[in-house]
Amino acid sequence: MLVLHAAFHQDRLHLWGESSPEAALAAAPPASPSAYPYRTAISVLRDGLALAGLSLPTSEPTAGESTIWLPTQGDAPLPSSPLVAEPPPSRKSPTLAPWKIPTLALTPADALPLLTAVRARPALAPGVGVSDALRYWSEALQFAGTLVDRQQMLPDLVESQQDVYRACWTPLFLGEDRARLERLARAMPPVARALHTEDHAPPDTAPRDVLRAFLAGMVDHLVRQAAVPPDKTRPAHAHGQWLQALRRPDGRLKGDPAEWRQLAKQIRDWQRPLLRLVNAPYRLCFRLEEPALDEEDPDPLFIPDAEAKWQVHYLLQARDDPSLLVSAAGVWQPAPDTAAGLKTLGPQAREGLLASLGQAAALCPAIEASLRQPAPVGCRLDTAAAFRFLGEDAPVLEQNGFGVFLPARWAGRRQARLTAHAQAKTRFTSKAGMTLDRVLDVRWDIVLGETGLTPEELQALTQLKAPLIRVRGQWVQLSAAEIQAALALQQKSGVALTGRELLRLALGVETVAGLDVSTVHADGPLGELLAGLAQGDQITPLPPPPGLTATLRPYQTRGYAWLDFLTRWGLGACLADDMGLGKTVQTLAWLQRLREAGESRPALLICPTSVVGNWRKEAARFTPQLPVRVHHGAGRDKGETFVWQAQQQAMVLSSYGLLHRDLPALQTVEWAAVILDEAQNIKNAETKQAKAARALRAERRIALTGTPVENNIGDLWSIQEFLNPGFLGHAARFKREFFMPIQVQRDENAMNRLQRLTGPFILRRLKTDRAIIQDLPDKREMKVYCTLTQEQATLYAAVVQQAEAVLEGMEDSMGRRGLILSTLLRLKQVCNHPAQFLADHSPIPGRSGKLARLTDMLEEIQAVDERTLIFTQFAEMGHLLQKYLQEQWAREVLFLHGGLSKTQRDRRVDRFQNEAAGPPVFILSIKAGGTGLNLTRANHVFHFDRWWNPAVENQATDRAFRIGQNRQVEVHKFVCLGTVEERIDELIERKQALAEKIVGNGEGWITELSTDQLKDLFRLRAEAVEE
Amino acid sequence: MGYYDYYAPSRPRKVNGGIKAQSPRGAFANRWWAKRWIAVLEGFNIGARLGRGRSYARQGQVLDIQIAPGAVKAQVQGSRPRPYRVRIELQPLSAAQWRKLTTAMAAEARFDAKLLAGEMPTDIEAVFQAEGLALFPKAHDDLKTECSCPDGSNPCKHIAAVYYLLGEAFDQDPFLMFRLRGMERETLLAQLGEAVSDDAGEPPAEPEPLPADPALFWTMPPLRETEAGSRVKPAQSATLLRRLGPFPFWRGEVSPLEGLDPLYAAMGTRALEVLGRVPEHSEPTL
Repeated sequence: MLVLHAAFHQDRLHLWGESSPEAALAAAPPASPSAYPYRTAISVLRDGLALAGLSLPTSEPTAGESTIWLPTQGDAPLPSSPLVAEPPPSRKSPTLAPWKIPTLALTPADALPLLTAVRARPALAPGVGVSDALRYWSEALQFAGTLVDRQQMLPDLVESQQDVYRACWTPLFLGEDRARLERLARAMPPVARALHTEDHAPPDTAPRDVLRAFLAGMVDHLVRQAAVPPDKTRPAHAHGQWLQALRRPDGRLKGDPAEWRQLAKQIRDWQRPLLRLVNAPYRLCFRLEEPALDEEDPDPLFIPDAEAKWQVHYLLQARDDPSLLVSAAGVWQPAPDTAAGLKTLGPQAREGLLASLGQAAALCPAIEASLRQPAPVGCRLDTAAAFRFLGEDAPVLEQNGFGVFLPARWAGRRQARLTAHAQAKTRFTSKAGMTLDRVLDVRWDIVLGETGLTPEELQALTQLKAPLIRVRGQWVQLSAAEIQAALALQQKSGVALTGRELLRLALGVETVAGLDVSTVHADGPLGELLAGLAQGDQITPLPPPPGLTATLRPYQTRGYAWLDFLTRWGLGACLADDMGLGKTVQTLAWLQRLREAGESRPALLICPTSVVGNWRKEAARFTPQLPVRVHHGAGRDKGETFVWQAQQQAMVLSSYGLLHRDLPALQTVEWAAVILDEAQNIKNAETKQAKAARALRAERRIALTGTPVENNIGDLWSIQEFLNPGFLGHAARFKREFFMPIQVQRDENAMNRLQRLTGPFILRRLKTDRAIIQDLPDKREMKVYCTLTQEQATLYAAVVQQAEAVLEGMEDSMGRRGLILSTLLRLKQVCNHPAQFLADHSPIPGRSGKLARLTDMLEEIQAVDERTLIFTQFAEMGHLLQKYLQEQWAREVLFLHGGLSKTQRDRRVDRFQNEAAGPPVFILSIKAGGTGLNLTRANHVFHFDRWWNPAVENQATDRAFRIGQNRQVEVHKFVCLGTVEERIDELIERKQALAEKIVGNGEGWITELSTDQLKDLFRLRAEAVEE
Repeated sequence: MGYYDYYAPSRPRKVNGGIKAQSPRGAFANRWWAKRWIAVLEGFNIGARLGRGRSYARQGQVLDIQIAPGAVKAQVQGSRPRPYRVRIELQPLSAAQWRKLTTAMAAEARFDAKLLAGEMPTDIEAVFQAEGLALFPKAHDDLKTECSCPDGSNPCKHIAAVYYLLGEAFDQDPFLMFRLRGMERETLLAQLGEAVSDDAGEPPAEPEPLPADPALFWTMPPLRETEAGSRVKPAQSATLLRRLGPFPFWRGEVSPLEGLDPLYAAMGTRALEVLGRVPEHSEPTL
């Protein structure tokens, strides 16, 4: 396991790695006993980065040894996390000591791809973890990006080394940025500034200064990305050369250092007035006060006369405490109650206020006029001037770092208050002919806030010179353009739209002629659709179809009704319920109803290979009347046979792998519906399988997923494009309108719009929803049916063959007993993982069906921050799982087994139960961890392999399901289809009441079976294999 | 035709790296006090030389300008190999006279406000006149100009060029006018009762030692989602640069604003593109 760290030192971000001691030793033996025990050679670092698709340019000599100060106990440095090594038991308090480590010094250009790749990911690649320090610099980079976006920097000149000068861009931190800088500096993990050139004292540069240096380097680099390189001719004078160097990739300046020194001084003089204000511990703010109006005014719409008196008050706001505001009057005439506040502002508050007013006066004429008095505290404005202040002056003042406070009852500049209301007239009354492609007549009404405007009132608005009006007690500022657009629209009644366009309008996402659409009203069936969409799963419930053998819980009935509602309208639906809420049964109920309503064409269900068996089993259980066929394996149908076979089915099951490989055949069939299970498999729209999914012909489309789709913008487009093609616009437009604003700029408006647009098509219920909780029992036990990989199947068959050969001739009952039990053991190991069976430390990924399924389920659980216990009867399997999971996610996974001391066990239990951000997964050997421990922090329990004794299993489950647990506990028992595991499981199920008696404490009862019965038990069935 | 009317235009030698006026056309001065300064020059009836002076100022024929109390010394490249030496003299005021002026100015806030903000207060003349003094030169008497060029006219086009450039400089920094009259910026502000520090930079933060506790050493507290700040499209590009005003005695081929405005306008979009671009293995791209 390798953990990457980064610290900023001497204008470079230094990357270094911490490797687990075995790995560190293997790569390079230590040079001396006092060498850093977790040292990671540069070549290993590069390999780790290469795994993530990153390769750093080696143009500059960047690799070297650096000194870093780390917490050290005795003579060994402490590791950063148990992922690297177990921390030694603490005997004395650690102190800081210097260590030499290999580091890679990154220029801003090199650091950029690494820091963007690291964003919000705990692991860069399997086995390569990202530390908090590295993640911190990634966040700092985002801040640098927004500074550049808002153009908060000035051209500058610095002495980078003795007598060597560089043209550079220096960021400025005005207003909010100042506060952000402070907060980000406080969040810096100390290791990020722990590099030092000396080794007799640790570094103590303040975090803020280190952060500033980093940001300056990044801002400089980002700005230059946009520069068009200037032509080659060298300007005659230093000024021109400086300007040119600002636009070149490298800002170095050649020539006489004295000349540059002088230019540096000139630049400082030039920038001084601005910088003084920027660096002051306060800033000037303006507060706009509305004219005093009659509170009892009955008229909701009030248009003030031109002489109404607005006031702008001047205040100073302390930079470090934005709640501290001192009025200008308080600065001119200090009074007892403002004395404390003034002190915070510093001794130069008066001068600063004056200078700021002087600068603001240059931006706003109203302020200029007020400076005629000796001690200005504010200025008066009439309505026209107030309008100008709001519309023109205020944005410029804000952009220049001044604060502008608007009246409390201000509706907000960004809200367009004039909106359009659409009234759609449908030309038909029956539902039959209604599809979304129909064209409708629309009548437009204009609404201001909630008050409708008659054409006469609208006309009156156009007469206003300064459209600043009060509506229902709120001040609203309109633009002339808005008013004109509204007028034009009102006159254009009768504009035709299709139902689909109207739907987009109804979801509040489109504008019409520049106006926002506030409401859409439609009558008839279209109105029903709009009303229904707004309801989500509160929709009128449908009775479950008679052919369904399951009993639906109330929320499941609602989900199935919702699926029916959307698909009936030709709209694609995404059911995104939490794991374990029964998406399978809801989908099957829906399909059953569809068939009972007369649909004769088949439905196609695509799911991950590891889940195909599960679907088949569930369909056989819940909808036994429906013919279901699995399209999978080397012997699957092709061509004409496939088409003919498919048409005999109610549902054809296949996998994502085959979706694009067998696309031609799949495309030939006209499907009643296409259902994608674990739809996040098409989250990348460019993959073959995503394209294949979109190419299928289907009347209805459903996507099932357990992950919160709406949180991943990129994934959302691909899934929606499958469900409702074209609804979100084509990819480039989506990127521009939604992806970039939300993902990169965190634009809240765009987030809300996307939510409104996609909300009606996604139904997601959580186990924690109040409406669901009552419907769920406290403990739910579920079987997870897994398949075997080809390798596992081969090994399994070999074991069985060998056992049967010996069994044939065996008479000795003791020997027979022993053979049966050992065969059972080996078969269990094969079902777990070939590496466990072969005991050969071979690679882990991709060789076990159970492991694949476990990984998927754990990811869903992690996504909602829940915790898990995994029981296994094999300590080797426990080790295997721990190693694999830790490498995949670079997060610690706890493991409790018989080989631990009491202290070690107690510590793990304590950490799991009580540590705030502790490991979310705890693997336990069922013997060592099956009794006595309290692990109620987990609410998921996995039995990776079975003990087959309900008492023993329940006892293990009760580590979580016991007093102190206040959530539902979900128990998942893994069973490999077609193998001995499934057979024994069935046997136990059938003889539930007698199970304990029969099974007892061991598996001895199996040895009582006859040879034929044993052969039947062990035989590997066809459905066991996934491929 | 009098002597002063006959004027033989000559071609000056080309200069690289001379001081160029930063306004490509139109007035050299926008603010009222600089306009007043220039009006004095234009009050001298020197005909076409004014126009020539303006051209020289724009082309960068002025090589050097030094402003000292009482005198401006400059070098201007003409048609002859050796540059001409120009001298403009103004009577500086004595320390005692300045004392009286600053006492009068300290009585009203707006003088402080304007000066601190880099502007000349509008009533400044009244203050000078009340003491029987003047800030701006009156034509002929107050101002002495000299140039080593062969043109007999005084002022000649070389003096005019320097004069126009001074106007531009005063526009940006009114304290230069005070310097000419014998008063430095720091002294003036100090006498007005303002505490002035030359240092505009921020002092480095207090040193903060590293903690040795491993629980604190390695970790970062959770950061809020919007910590990086959201996007607000700037109302105008390069606002901060514009706020600085013109660079005094700029000698580049194009002014800083002209040279850097396109970069300011493009940097935001480009930065976001660069940041949004993620390597293959991490996020799926659209």
